[in-house]
Amino acid sequence: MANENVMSYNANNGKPLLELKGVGKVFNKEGKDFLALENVDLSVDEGEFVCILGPTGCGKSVTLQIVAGLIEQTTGSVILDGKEEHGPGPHKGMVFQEYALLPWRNVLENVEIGLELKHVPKSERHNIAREQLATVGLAGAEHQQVHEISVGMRQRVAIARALANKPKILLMDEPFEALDALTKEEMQIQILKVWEKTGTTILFVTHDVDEAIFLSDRICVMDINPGRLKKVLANHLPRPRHECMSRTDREFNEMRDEIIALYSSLKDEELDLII
Amino acid sequence: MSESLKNGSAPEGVPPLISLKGVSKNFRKSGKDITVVDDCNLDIAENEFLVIVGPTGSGKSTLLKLIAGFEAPTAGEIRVGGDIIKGPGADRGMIFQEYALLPWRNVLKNVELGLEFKGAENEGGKKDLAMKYIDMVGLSAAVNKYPVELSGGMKRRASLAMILVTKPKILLMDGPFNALDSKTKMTLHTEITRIWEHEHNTVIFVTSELDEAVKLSDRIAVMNKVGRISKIFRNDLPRPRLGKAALDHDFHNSFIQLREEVLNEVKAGAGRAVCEY
Repeated sequence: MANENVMSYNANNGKPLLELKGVGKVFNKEGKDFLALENVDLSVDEGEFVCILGPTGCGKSVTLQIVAGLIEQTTGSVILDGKEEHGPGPHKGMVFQEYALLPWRNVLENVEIGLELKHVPKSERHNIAREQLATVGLAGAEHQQVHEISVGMRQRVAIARALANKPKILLMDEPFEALDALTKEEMQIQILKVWEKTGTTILFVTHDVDEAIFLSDRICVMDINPGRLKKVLANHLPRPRHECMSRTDREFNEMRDEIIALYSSLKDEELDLII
Repeated sequence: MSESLKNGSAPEGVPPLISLKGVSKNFRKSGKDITVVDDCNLDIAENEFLVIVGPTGSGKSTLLKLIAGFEAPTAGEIRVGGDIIKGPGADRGMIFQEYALLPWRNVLKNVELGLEFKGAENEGGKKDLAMKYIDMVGLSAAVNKYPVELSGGMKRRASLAMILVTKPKILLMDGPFNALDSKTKMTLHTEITRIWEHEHNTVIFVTSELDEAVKLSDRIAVMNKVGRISKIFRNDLPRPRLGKAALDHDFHNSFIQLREEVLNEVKAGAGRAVCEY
């Protein structure tokens, strides 16, 4: 089963898996219209790791929530695998900052949620869940209770749960934000390993420039007032990065300078939020 | 021992729904056994609202997890309805500090989740039941919203409805309103009281806030830093206790007096760790 996954995931023929066409969002707050996101055009290839980067208020989470189908765009369309998208579904795996594990179910039962709701037979869903737990480095933790495990482990469980549904794309909204610096770095390496192993397509929102550089194939740099896509940068740093890159390497720093230069109009306190 | 047993009795003439006898729990930490809960004896009557208070590390959350069946006692026994418990059960619904909602399901679908795992009835019955509890926690207007659109208080309400819909006889609540602003907390105090009166649940509620304990409880169990129940206070303040009722002078004086007595007991058992009070 794993092999079949990898084969289909890795069929990277450059055709866009996900397309956003003219996507905009206006929120109405206390009778006033507020433009949160303006006219975003973006495409993500199959198997690609794309980061959406920007300070608070740039609409990066709104963009992800629109792709996820949790909120509806005011203008434009979202196309996934050739079909226009409306609403959420198990084909779009979500991993957010909040863990959203059900505390009365153990680790294995949390990973199985989606499969159980689809009435996948017990032994089959056990096998899938175990396999995905191994993918995120949690083999052997199946029967631990959610309240017994660390926050980093909980986020791994959330990733395994999303993967168990065999999503077409993994949508991640600042998933490591609440973690301490060390655990955050561990999780960044972990998600790269997961991506390399499964070949799944990932759209990842962050406000952390270094995180975006470390993880991505491309970086969508967003701007504020109104929230919009400013520039898309290709990231050709060598992989696997956790083995052959350091955040103090010259190329890494050059990439960071290039991004920071795009934000030259930001005030210092706004810039502080992204570095 | 006999003192704590006497203290731990449920109201006279009522058979206890939950009964703890000599319950202890040890954890192994860096090669040493640490006693977190020590020889706890407690009877809780059906439809009682028991609040457990105590300093951080007094074992109050662990005691709740033991009753929920998430942990097994090292010694002693816990009975519910006369039977020794052997793990979690549908008769006990636990509500944690962290809310747990699936981000890809709206409020209605999240609340229905509890029923789906149970292998619910027909689709219509499921929705009606979920709507009833969504209404009960005051979330009718947000029924189609996804968790990303909800405030912290609304997420707690949705989590609460998700548990209530499975109709647990016993509600185990571990600091469910911690970290909420005081206005939201007050509203939720009113609602949990109303739900308890309406649904006739038996509630065990762990908190570190004494105002909350005095407002909600029939009895208040105080745990000390060595994991023992040092004293149980009966709370005979008349109900309703929230809103206008709290303005009555006699009521207010009794409220402050009970709060003071509980505070002294907590301080006596806490050593230096009382800063949170």
